[in-house]
Amino acid sequence: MVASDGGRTLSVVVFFVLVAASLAITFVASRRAKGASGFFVAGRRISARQNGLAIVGDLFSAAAFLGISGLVALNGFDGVMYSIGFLVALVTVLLLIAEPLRNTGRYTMTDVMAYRLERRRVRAVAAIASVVIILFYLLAQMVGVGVITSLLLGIDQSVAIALVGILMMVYVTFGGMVATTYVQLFKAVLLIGATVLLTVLLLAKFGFNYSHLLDRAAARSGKGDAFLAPGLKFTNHIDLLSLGLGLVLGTAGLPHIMMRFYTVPDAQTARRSAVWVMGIHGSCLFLMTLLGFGAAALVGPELIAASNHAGNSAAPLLAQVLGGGTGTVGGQVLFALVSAVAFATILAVVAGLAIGASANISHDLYTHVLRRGQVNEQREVTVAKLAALAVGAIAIVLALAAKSLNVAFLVGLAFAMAASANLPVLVYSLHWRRFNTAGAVSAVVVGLTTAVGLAVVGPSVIGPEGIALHGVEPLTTLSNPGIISVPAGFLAGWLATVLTARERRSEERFDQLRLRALTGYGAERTVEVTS
Amino acid sequence: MTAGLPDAVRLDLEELARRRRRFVVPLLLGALSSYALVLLAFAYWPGLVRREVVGAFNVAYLLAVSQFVMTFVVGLVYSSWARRVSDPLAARIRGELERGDTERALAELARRPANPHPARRAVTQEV
Repeated sequence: MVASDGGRTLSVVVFFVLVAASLAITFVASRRAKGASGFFVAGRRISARQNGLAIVGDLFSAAAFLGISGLVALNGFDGVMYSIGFLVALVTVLLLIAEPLRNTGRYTMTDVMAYRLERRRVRAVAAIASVVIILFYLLAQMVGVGVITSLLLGIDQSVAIALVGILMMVYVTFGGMVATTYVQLFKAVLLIGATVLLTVLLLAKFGFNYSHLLDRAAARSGKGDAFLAPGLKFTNHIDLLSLGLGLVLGTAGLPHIMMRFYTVPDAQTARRSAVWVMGIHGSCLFLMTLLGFGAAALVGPELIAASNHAGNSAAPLLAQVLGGGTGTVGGQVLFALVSAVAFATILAVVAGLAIGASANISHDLYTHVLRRGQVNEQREVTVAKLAALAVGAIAIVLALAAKSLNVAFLVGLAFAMAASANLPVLVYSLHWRRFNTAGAVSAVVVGLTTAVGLAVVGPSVIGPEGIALHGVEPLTTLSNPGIISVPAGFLAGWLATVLTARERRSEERFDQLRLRALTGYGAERTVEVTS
Repeated sequence: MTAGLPDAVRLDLEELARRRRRFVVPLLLGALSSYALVLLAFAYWPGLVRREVVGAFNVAYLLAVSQFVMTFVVGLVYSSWARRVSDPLAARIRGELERGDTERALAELARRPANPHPARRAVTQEV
């Protein structure tokens, strides 16, 4: 039991208020989500700061908010690793992807590849990979929401999963990208507010002496100075490097995050929003590790691990202590606040994922692969809404079936898949003239299958610590496939290109692509709202 | 490689591409290698990273903080460079392109090679 009954009642009340507020936002936004451009990319009218906040919202999944503080509280310094990886990833996004993507695409990352390569083949393969990546990520969030709500709100795991799935369908089908973005902003502001509030309260307990806090955390952990140094969680060095590689290159290949760069008026705004993300996301990631050390110092690892073995309840438990402890009004209020913010976080992330997948399914697979572009806007939006419903339904079923999977493992895998399958094709498409369709198809197929394949034969899935075949030794000791699958994806793209014939059209279109990517000439314009 | 474009546009475009390459590639490689070095230090130099520097802060912690600072600095340095150098150049090229005669030249360029849709203007065509 994490909270007293009074604390839970209050949490449930705050939680319903949040859900009502987000539905109100969706209703207001739905009137602005007109046409395909309104539905998929909010008419490209989002400002740099809003888009920055929305991306922070998308990036702060359950794994980041509850996961990082929990990992730090239980494993000390090794939890900080995730923070660094998530943050440095933004360098690649800013320097290589954000501006050219905005300049050359329409709704999805796949647009950029389809511009110069054989459209239907590349779109089909890349869009399917994107949907698979999003489904893994979605599954992680849905499993996470089940764990967290049962822990914090006392709602049954299956009920919580179904509820989140249904709310997500409502946001996306009624409000499209406008609603999803505003729900994301609402959540990001709540999240930042809660994080800053907890940090101030925490530091005040230690006379604003962070060093003193770290000493106490180390002492309370029972591991002494080792708690403040790497090595407690990642005992396998290759695994540490593998995870680090996946994290730092994965963000730039996540379809639902990259799609957000289409919601702004131009490339300059895309760049400014990426810089906002660095500032806001970086600060929050840093504070999250601080809260983790705080939870270790004030709550203690035993209590945190007892309530959830992965440490997911570290932040709410810390909030309770900072408010005055179990049974006090302050403790209950803060606990309710943090629990509700955690729930809002997952809800918003799930909505962002669903709209990303629906764009891939409708814009790429239906409109361009199946119907060769001969589809009117209204039809494209209708198909996207149906796709969002289907994705929601699939996510609910998968999450109910896979409740026991480890959330951090699923998120790490989604990042590794994005870095291995999507990033090579995106980078080659934008920067390599010789690149051809065979290269693109090979990179996606090899990157994706290597990542998934290694994960399936790895220790997280089979063997004594996995979910199946407990009697068998895992075929690889790697729990994250990144260190093999990322180079495999890049290598496959390069090798298949140089081994096959030059593609004249691809090279000529590359010149146009480069011209557009560098200058913004002919880029998609903002759509005026008529309402 | 951009034959068919007016000389002024072509030269500006090559200039922009060269400047971006010379600025962005070292910045990106520098940032990613510093990240790689920090990871390697965590994995393979436990003795070094455990050493305390100030109060409870050890080398590992300072290395972690250095990555936050590095990211912020890269963000600021790049955006100030882009505002000063690449934005004006890109705007100039766009201006040159949006003059009518160039639009026609570009459409011509797009049509000439083995283009499957010769009737459409490939440069402005929707993707």
